[in-house]
Amino acid sequence: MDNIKRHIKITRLIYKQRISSLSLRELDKVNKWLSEDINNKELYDRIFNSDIDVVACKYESIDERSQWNSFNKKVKKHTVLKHFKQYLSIAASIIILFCISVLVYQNRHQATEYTMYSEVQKKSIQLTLSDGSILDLEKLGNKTIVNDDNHSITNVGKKIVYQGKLSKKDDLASSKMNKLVIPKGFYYNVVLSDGTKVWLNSQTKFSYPVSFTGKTREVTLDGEGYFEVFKDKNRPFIVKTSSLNVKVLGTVFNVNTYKDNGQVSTALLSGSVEISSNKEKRLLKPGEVAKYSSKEIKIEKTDILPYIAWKEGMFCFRNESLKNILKCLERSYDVEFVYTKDFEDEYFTGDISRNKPIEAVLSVIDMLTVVNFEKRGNKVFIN
Amino acid sequence: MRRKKSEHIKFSDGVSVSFESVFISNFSKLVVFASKYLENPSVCEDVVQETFMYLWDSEMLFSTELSLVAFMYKTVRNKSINIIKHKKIKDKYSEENLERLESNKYFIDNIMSEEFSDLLYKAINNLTDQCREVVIMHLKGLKNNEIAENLEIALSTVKSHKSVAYRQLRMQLKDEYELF
Repeated sequence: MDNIKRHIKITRLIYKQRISSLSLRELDKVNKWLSEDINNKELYDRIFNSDIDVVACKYESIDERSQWNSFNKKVKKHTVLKHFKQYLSIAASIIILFCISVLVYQNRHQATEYTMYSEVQKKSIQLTLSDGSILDLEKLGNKTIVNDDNHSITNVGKKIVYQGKLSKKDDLASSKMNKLVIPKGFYYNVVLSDGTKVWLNSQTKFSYPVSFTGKTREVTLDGEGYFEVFKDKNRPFIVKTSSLNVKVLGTVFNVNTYKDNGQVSTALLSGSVEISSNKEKRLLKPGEVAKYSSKEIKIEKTDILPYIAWKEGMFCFRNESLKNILKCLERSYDVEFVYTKDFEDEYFTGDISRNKPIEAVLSVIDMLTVVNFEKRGNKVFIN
Repeated sequence: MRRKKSEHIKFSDGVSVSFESVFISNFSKLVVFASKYLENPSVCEDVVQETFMYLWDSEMLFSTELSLVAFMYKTVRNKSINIIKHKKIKDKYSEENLERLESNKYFIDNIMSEEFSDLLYKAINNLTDQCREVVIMHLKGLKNNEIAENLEIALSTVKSHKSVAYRQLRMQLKDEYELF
């Protein structure tokens, strides 16, 4: 990518040279490029002497405005069509029902009539401090937990923020580890003392130091986390899981250790990341997903949206088996699915908001598949 | 099942632009770029539309506008090569030709051509009619007196249009890019 960027910059300089003039520094850059390859001179001449008529002819025939309009229309269709691409053969009435149910549940401000959803209150999000004391973050509410010379820990909204203040006694802070335990049905966010933001999904345990000192920034994850790592070239950020280490410099990525498919996966949005198991090391590029399953690391270039949608409050399934979808729902809503009889697995593509009560999600899946759901307490029976 | 979509692209250097403006300013050059790989113009348009759709969906974070542009060229090129390879069964392309099309040299050559053409086209389009005509002729290598003759205007008019035009072009340049 850097090679492309460099050549684009050189092109812009050539253009500047064409209509104006270059500074000595700029001229230097162009000359350096020219000297690198004989072909560059020929390319330079060709570009510099571009025939404006030929250019205009090609460009004039393109109507960007109308292309944008059709793009816009496509975007709207795209989001809806994706969902029932697989179900074109289903009777029209069911598709209409589906649309209606989607429209009904669109209203985010609809008051929850589903009181059953909130019955499980026993579990909560636990923060274990370095002195061993355990705090219940749900009960705590907005509060500053610690505020001393070295750092402060504040709980606000659905996240906990760490701020390291300047201190000469650095080594003391680094040994202090905190641990967040997020049970099924919950999710939480953390802002680490270096500014790194972490979104944590249900059924996740996350350990991290109160302040980062030392040559690396290390955290431990068991579950799922979406990381926006604060750039610090001098201190690589390392996410440790039980089988894999993910090393990053300043980047955005998602790590999933649930092993639903028997795999630990890491999806990269931007920046670069090095994945290491005890046998190998692989480099990951944006738009790629690395999957590790006790034998080897496999990397594929794929749509990474399904891997990170949870962080935006969505379930995003792409040709996902129903059984895996149900595992995902079990985690997010803390329910248990009971199979009364085995059924042939079906594959589902769709996006569903996570902020809806489980009954809403289940009724959509119910309509689109052969299975039926019956919820009793926190168990759901499947027919 | 509606997705909340940001209609802006944010860069990690703090700049934020609307998706629409990125689309409008890059669409044409990407289509012309694609036409260096694919013959059919509407297929070229499709490839670029798909690229923007992918961009829309992926919500990738870019460090700068330059990274975004580089990414788009790369994506268009990859999609185009995939189409060519798919069609290879019809044997339109010989092995050597395919090798040339897939080469990095071809890729870079075409990026540079299109970036330059796009800059030139946009800049000239923004000029007023008379200034534009004068500049176009000047770029073609015509001398001032030849331009005057062609446009049937006085030599002094040619000179003043030229100076106004080039001043405008240079001004545009300052606004547009941080070159290095």
